[in-house]
Amino acid sequence: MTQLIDRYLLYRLKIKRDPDAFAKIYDRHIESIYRFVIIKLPRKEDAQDITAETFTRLWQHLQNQKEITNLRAFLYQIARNLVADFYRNRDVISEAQTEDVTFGLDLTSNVTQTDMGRGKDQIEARTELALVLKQVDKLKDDFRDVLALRLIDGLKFSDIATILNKDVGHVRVIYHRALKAIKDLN
Amino acid sequence: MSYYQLLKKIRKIKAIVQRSKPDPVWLLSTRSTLLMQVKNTLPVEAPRKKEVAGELYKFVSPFFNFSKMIRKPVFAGLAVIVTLFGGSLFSVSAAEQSLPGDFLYSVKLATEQARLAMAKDSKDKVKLKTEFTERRVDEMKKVIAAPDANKKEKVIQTAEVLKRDMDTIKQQLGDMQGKAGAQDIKDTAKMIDQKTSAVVQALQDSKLEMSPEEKAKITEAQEAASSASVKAIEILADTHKTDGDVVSQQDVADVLKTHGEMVSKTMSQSFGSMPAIDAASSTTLGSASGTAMTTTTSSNLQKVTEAQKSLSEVDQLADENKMDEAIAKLKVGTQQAFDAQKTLEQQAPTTGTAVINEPALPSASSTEPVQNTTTTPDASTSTLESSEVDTGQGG
Repeated sequence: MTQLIDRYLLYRLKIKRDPDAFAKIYDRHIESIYRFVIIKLPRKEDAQDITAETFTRLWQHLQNQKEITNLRAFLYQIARNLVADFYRNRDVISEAQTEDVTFGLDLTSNVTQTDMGRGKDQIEARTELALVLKQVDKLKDDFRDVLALRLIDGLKFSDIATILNKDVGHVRVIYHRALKAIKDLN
Repeated sequence: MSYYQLLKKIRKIKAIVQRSKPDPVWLLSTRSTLLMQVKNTLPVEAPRKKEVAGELYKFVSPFFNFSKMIRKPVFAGLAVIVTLFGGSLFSVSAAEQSLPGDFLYSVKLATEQARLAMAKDSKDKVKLKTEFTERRVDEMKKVIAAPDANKKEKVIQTAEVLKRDMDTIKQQLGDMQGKAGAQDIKDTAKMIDQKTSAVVQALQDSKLEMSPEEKAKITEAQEAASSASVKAIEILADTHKTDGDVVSQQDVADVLKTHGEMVSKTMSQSFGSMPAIDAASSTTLGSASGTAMTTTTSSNLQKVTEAQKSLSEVDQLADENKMDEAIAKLKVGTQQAFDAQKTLEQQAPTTGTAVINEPALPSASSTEPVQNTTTTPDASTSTLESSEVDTGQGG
């Protein structure tokens, strides 16, 4: 049903030239994309920038008449790539060591400096996530991605499959292997 | 950190993340900025028809993409159907060819039970069950013909199944009485009479070169078949009393005659295939076992004579329309005949050890006593030897 509404809004936007359709797409997905990025970025402003940039990229994509089959997954895909770009660029600037571009985020870095402008809850969540990722970091990249998208972002397997450009069945297998791997870590 | 602690923490993070709300002011300002951008860059000209059609197709395609929508459930459904029915059809068709002792033989019997359960009325059930008994006879022939180390067990198993089937037919005939119409009873009784006669005859033929144990089992099956036939005759006679227009006296007389002939023929063949004991030569030798054997054989031959006498009276009573008496005689005659046959088979050595003489039985229509046939001295000796052995086993 969600996909059907998205499909209708895209149709309105492209054929009826209805800007309100884009506004509705924004309203439907802005919060989830924001939540997806806020946990991965050191500052709230970075999260806001990347969220806004995600929708700008969407519009550029639509202008180029490119096909979108799953809008929700597409938005997550853009956001994920932007987060990865963010860390890559920052590393280049700071000449820091190369980090994992997936979910091996720089969460264990100086929290007090980077968490300026964030709420207490978000800082706590970020700290917790750092601990979890430290544990999960021992797993393969695929395992971490699928676990984070499934358990933290609560995405469907079909959406995760689109984001990671994998088959749904494969994603399910990865997820269950990741859970088993966590058990084996202990 | 244990697995459960990890999952707990992940859930906690998720809960915190879910509570995270973007700044409303930022939300609105970003929304207006993006909308402005969209409005400014939105194409002014109307979309081309081709473009519209393409977009429309994209929008509605999930509804019309039948191949994609239906493929999975249809294939899954087909796979289930093929597995259930195709597999079972294959199994059943393979089972149809199975013989007693085979892995699929129980499937064959179960399929027969299923067919029986689906029969619409008692007449069909009897008809179907009779068909199955013919199958048993075919199986018996195949088992006997095929070289098999376990032939004896298979023959015994087939005979037991056949006996059970015959008992079932008898029971079904009882159920049919009072429920089915006179015409149905007439047809069924005649059919049973013919088929059971054929079964008894076929079993008699298959008895050649069998061990006493196998013969005993086959005779039991024959007796069950004969008993089913008598039951059919009884029902037909009862129907004749209540509905003489449909079931005539001649109808009952015919089946009585068929049954009597069948029993007489079976006896003739059975006794013809057994060693004829020369009472005189056995007595001359004077051994105790020989005397005992002679006594047994004499009493057995007496039974045969009485059976033949009873059977010969059946026709006469039937012609006089004394059906109850005729059936009673038939029962007595049949019982005596099978008793005599059983006794002979128990006494008989395995094949090849005795001299086979001409049948010493009178014809069904004759009431003359049995005439002993003469045997050569060598033959007498060999017969006695075998008799001694058998008596020893019996003791």
